[in-house]
Amino acid sequence: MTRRSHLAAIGLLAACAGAPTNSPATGAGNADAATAAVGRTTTRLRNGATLVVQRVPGRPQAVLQVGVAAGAVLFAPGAAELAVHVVAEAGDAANSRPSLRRRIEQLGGLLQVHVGPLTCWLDIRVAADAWPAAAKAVGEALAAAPPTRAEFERVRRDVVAARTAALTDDPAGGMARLLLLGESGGDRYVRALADRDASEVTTFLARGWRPELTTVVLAAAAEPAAALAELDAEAGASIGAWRAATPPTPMALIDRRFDSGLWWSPATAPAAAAAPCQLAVVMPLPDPAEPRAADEILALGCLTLEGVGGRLERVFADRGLGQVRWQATTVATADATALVLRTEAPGEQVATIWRALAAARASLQSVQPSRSEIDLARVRAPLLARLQLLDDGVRARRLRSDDPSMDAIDRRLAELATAGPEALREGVDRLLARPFACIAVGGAIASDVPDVHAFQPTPTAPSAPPAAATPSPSPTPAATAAAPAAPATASAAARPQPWLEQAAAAAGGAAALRRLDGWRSRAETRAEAAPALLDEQEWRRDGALTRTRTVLGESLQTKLAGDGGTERLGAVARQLDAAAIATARRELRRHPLALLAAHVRGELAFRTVTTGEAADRRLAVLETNDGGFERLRMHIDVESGLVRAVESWETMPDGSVVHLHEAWQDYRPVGVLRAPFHRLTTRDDGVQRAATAWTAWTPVFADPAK
Amino acid sequence: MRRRRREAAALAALLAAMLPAQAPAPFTAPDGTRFLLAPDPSAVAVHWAVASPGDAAHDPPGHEGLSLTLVHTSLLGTWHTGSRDHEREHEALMWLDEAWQRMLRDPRDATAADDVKRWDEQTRELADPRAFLRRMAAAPAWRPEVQSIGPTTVLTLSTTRAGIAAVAAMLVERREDQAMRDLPRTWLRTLEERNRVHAGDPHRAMRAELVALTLAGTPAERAARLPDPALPPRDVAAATWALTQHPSATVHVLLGDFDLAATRTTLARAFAATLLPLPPQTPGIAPQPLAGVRRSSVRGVATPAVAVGWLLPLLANGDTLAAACGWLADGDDGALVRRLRQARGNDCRVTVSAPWPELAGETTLLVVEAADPKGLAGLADDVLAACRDLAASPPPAAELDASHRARLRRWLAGNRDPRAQAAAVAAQAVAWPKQPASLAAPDTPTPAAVHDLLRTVLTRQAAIVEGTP
Repeated sequence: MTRRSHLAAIGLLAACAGAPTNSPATGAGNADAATAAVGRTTTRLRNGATLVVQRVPGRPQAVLQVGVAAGAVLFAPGAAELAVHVVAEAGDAANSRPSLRRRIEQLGGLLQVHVGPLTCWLDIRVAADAWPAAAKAVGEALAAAPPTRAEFERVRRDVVAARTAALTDDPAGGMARLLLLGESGGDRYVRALADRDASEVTTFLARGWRPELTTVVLAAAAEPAAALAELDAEAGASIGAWRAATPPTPMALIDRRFDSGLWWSPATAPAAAAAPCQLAVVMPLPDPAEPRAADEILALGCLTLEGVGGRLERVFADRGLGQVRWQATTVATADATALVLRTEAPGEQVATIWRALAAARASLQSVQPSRSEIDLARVRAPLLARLQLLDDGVRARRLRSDDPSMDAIDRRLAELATAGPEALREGVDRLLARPFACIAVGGAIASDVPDVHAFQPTPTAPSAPPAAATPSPSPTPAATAAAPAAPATASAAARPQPWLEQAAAAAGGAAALRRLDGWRSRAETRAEAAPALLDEQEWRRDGALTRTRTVLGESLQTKLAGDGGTERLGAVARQLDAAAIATARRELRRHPLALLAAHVRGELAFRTVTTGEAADRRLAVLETNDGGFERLRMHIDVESGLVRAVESWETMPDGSVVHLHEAWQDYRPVGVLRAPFHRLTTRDDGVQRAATAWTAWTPVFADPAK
Repeated sequence: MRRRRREAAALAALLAAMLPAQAPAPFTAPDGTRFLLAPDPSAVAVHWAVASPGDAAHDPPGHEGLSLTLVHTSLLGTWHTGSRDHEREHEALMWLDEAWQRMLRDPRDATAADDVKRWDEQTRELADPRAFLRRMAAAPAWRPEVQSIGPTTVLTLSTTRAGIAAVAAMLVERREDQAMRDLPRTWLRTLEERNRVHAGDPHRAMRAELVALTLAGTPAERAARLPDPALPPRDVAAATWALTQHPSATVHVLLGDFDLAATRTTLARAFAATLLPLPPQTPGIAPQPLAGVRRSSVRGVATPAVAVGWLLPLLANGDTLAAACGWLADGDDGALVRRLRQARGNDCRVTVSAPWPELAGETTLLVVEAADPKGLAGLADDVLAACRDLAASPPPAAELDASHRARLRRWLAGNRDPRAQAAAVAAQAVAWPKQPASLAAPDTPTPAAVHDLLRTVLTRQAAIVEGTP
């Protein structure tokens, strides 16, 4: 019953119509007058950004939209959203630069931020004669240096608080928006925002907020030439003067899908289980520019007019659900809009409602819409098609593409009105191929509905970083280690060590870590002046390892089991000696989750070395000489509890000591755990560096959780 | 200071800028319905708001909230749309009403409860309450919704240019042929909401007492007190519907993608006549000015507080009053807030409400509430002294600009959605009938205008209610 559809299909229009991604910047003053559609002019600024100007004479208001083709599907969960908020909200007190939002408000205007899977936008409305000042403020914000860590953390804190509050107030409605973003729960979404580090967002800004990826849309009572001159001015901080600080670097795609199906967040308190469930049915609308959008919209009108009428009401009545009353609304991201039908129902009725919804949709294929159904839907279809365009800002943003006007939709609807019902078959097929979800909040998850997606609307533990714990025992102030300490006993490991507890909690909890038996993973490692290496592993904590490293088409397979190990390259195989086996195993055992798991099982004990500041972050440094490590230090971020770095020292057979520093980033939820998806390894203080980015990491547990 | 004035002027221009290029064109249909038509060629839909009186002055005594209830029930259909047998349904609804009246008078009356159940089932069989919404959806109309805005009730929906005629026909049918289905349950929901609002307002009792001291016997007193749970009989409801929905009482605003001339023709054809009786012209009760300070007290207030009220003159324009109140107190800022915190410390909380209660065309109050956890001693005197001082001279232009800027930003945020804009304009046209309707932002008042108003009001005798735990 569930169906997966890639979000790119939902935001297809935005991708097709978005800003050019890799067009080279034009020279200064060399703006091309490209297509000039009716009522608008498209050119380029000298930094490569696309500019669309729509002259609206006599209109006393200006709408300025600034967007980038860098949305939520890129780089890391939450990065895009935090990046656009940083542009909008971060200021620089040291240089007396207020935030962009403050600047716009001082002009008497409004600033909103829109995030989508593919694009992010600043939506600015000001008086007609204030748009040059607003554009200048935008130019200064874009060109500003990355914010300080403190300023970033303030912005992140505000965003996390606002999103948490919104999801608490309306979990069903909030989840509807998250589905459009390809998220799978408010809990994970908010945690991802809280997990993002300043350096990650700075990276996203450098890679995503670039002129060549940017579109500026101005709808104002201004001549296009005058607008271009203002926005591309050489003097002062115009948008056209903004330059990217670094060369373009592609960003990895995150797998984001709008998973169709029944999404359910059960009641947590026993008393709440009897309360009615909030239901929201989410039906993404086709973009008017998509081929055959009119057909699909007409099919949607046959399914339901607005929660009343249509096939839906008939099926519900047949199934004894005639008392269900729907309230229609819309929910939107920067790239997509969905029709949402909302109601309340007893928890025990949710499964029946879900089946009825699915049946109503499917019935459009098994029983063609009748002439009268189509006639009713056809009157409504023009309004349905326009639902996404009611807002001035949305209409302005769409000027960036050569959209057919609503006339094309209306013409096609008129054609369908005179064609037979068979002509609607394609529209029905398209409607049923589009993702579709029903969100339930409350009650208990029905056991007779397969493939229910369980989700949590908000984090169950505070997503805000916990207050720094008081160290126990008192930290040793020395920054450098003395001679390796005697191995700690199991009783020492049991001594309260708040940072380790905090780190274990941040990683998913001691219970889950205790059961962690290994993982399967897939990653790509890039080192300077070396080709990319694909690394696939299957690791168990007893030391069993199957590892395949592929570079330039050649694969090196390593297998470790017990005391033995082999390496094979093509037809050539060799036995590994004990030192090589131990080195290979230590690499896996240095993984933050492996270290924390070993600690909670009592296999590894740490002592506190110090706490201190590093790159504007407060870290607790803990050291162990256990577990086969000569000397290993774990750096725990005292605010988030995440393990940010692991350092190790190893003595080589020739007596030299190798120092490895592994910086761990990009923590993501993986089931019950939170695992890092990026590692920067520095050997011997920079002699060799390699970056590893995971595309898959799946934990293996010793016994399945009951 | 000049910069602030320029900013305030720019802000007002911006707010004027949020409007469509053409100003709203007033139009009165043959049946007397007033329209404000604001075509906007850049829009893709037509947003329609119908405002009608929804305050205690238009509700029957003892049934405050009925006009709002009736606008909610109006979407459940008419005799023409939704009834399967309108004679039998009409009779069943009358019997249902009677059974509900008995049940609410005596909840232990098992016969009444059984009768309610029986007649309820029968009315359900005799009608399809979703037929009207279904027809609306097919008109097409998007999201017909009912909301309270100040002393008015507003129905909003969105449609297309092609749908105007069908929507107009349905609105006329709704007005003329109303069946008032599900009245008891809808009424109880309205009561529940009003009770919730009352319960959630820690100073409601103080303000009600203030109104009782100053506006006894007027609709304001009824608006301020707890709602009466008695179910209004159907004939009383019908009379209230006729009073509040008569063409002369309502204002329609259309904003968006339509042709002005063609739409006028369509509306004139649809809104041709009415069978609703002309509302009686009942002279309002003119409250007597206070000859001296009136005092009272109420108990059960969590933080010691005072509510001080002054009678407001009947005003033609609400903008200056709103600007004056914003200057006195706006959240944690405001001239009066600063004065009182200077005198009593930063824990003192001050709010200014006017007009209160919100009634269209009736005398109401300007109310200052001040709460001080340290106690009541001297609080009322401090409030009176501060208000007297502030009313003695015009407000500084810079302070007025700042508070107006905040107010304008709120207006902008609330009106950036054209549908909300249509609703706000319609509500204002009913609440302030003498104020020219406009889609533009409120004007920046002059310090002199604010001073005149405050000097007139705050130098009158006041009523004081003290609230103690």
